[in-house]
Amino acid sequence: MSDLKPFASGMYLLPKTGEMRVPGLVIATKELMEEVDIQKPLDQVRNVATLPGIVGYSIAMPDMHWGYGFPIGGVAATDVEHGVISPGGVGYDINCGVRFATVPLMFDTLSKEVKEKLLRSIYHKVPSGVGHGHKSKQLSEHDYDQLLVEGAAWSIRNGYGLEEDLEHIESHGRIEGSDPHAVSKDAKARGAKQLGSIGSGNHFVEIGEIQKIFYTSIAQAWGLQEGQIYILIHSGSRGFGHQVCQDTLNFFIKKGLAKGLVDPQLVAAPIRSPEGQKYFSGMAAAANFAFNNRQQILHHVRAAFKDVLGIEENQIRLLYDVCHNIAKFEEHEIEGKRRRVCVHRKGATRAFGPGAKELNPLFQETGQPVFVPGDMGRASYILAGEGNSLTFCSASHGAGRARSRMESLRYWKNEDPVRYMKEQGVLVMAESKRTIAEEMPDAYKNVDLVIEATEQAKLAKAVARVRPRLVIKG
Amino acid sequence: MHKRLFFGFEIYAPWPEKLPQGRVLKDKNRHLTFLFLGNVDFSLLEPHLRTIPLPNFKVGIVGKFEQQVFLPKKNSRCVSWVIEWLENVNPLLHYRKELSNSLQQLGLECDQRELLPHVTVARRPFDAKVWRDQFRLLPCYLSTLHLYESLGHLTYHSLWSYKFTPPYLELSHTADIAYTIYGENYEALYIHGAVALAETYPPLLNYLQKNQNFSSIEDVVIALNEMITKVDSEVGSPYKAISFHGKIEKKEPLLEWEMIIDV
Repeated sequence: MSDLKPFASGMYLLPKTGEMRVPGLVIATKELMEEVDIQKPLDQVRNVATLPGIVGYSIAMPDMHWGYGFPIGGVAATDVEHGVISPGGVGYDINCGVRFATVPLMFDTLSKEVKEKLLRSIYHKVPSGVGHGHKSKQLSEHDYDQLLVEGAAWSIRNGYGLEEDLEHIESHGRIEGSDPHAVSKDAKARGAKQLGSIGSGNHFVEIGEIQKIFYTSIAQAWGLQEGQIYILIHSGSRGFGHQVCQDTLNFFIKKGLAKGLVDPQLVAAPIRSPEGQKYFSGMAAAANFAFNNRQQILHHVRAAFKDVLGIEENQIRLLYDVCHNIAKFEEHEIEGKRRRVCVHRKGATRAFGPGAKELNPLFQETGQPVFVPGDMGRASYILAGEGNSLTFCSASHGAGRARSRMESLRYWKNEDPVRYMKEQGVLVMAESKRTIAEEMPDAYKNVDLVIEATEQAKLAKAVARVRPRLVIKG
Repeated sequence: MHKRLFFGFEIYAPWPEKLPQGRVLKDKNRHLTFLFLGNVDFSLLEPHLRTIPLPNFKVGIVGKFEQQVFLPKKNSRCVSWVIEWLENVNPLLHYRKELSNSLQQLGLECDQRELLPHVTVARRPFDAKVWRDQFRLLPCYLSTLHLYESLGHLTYHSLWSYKFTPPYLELSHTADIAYTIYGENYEALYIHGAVALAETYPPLLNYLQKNQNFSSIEDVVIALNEMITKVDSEVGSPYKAISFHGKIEKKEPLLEWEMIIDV
């Protein structure tokens, strides 16, 4: 805290020292910084600031915590011509992200039996937990060649969702530049049975109710009403993306690209180099895998709603799907000039404001939807991006952990976390009780504080607060 | 002052919270009998406990419980889990001879039968079928060498002990999982790292490749990640990868490495 200088509302500056090429910019409130140990993520903000070609600031979001190379909640942009691309700035779970959909029904109209039936139906349709994918389906080389290039459109073409969904996915569900041949056989083997599955860890499918609307005009434009049922899906590129990251790191390390770096986890290659291009092609392929994954999960959830409540697929509207582990080429204004940069968002969400060219007409009016899942007991938030150029139009992606998984396990060892959650009005299912204990609400920071900092810094404005009620954990 | 004595290793394992019915031994009493002395006069041994030879390995040797046996074969009284060692066990066997010779010089005869590495977890009455159905692969390691006195009723009292450095120790990491790994060389770091991973996900043990050559910690990370890749492709893995993090610290005679696992 002592190194940080107040800079603007909700923002602190970490001045340049040592080998830092740019200063750090930390989005936080005083209260938030007092709640958790920020020393390690701040060290990582400093390390990131030493990357060749970095421009603007090395940024940490209010949900920052210690990550791999970059802090989780880290954002950095590098110059396309002279800068580097770093897998540590994307993370292992390439294009981990969140999608939010609305259901035309009020949550309080569901009986206890229907809620339980709906939860069980989703649990059976959407594989979750370690090693659980679709037993009968296996992706062929031909499938891979198409889906890795087409992105979410491939799943829609194959019956998983609606054509209109594409307009409601970041980058229309496709990152350009993907090359299926840039991906190893190991990656394809890891992902072969995992498409359309949640995975383990902090991934989930959550059904809940919109608790409070803060910004009525945007909520109306987006079709959100208090009391309405929503669907929130959090997953990524599964083993496929993990392997793309791992293969790249092995290659970069063996090639000696980590030499001279303050932290080998920041190993990087010049964007224009063959190594950098190969990573980007593989990363884009993994990102497209992830878009397909969330598309298929939503399809299965829609099917569960149809089975249990008779709600047709097209009545469940996808509001948006955002990536929060990705590197993208974007144009931003830096020191008064428009520049093309590679923006690394690692545990951070793009938050384009009104008028951004890539957005569909609805979001060009309002700014893009930004989703900040909190924890499975308290709340999550729906925000509208404000397009803050200081953060390369980025905002936070979650509450951030406050307690390690092991500490959570110890804390809940002699308790029944499922029963506790039920007493709080949340039904939880997971393959492993261990996962539930690791993911209990008290393992996370209070998301309200993260949103307060996000709004103070004018990264995104809160549109609605939502509350989980039925949760499937990985 | 006759006591029923034996040298035995206390075993660390992520023991299941619930085991089938039987007279189940408490975690702390589960041991590997190393040298059985029988009913002996403790006063012959007690003055020499400070000078008995100590093992020349510092880190607890790791293994896995891969098989369950009911002993003796006919009219079984015990449910025992057999240890399959995951690293070179010669130092252990060498130490057994050394300790046995030393005790003989004190006039104490030891049971010289071949070491059968097993740990008794329960005594009869038990239902063998239920135990068979519920047995699962588990990692384990030698945590402490004790001179035990058998008090009967499945209880043992330690009269002397020597603690090993554990092969891994959990560290607090907010987002991921982290361990400090200890070993005498890179291969030991690899095996101890794999066993740490198997503590929460034992199926990984089926994918561990022994006798690999490592010349750097990066080689160890790559080999552990190859194991995770194979596991994830075949049965799934709770781990994404081991990060290229942490320099090796040499604290003679051991290497110490901070292993961070992305989950």
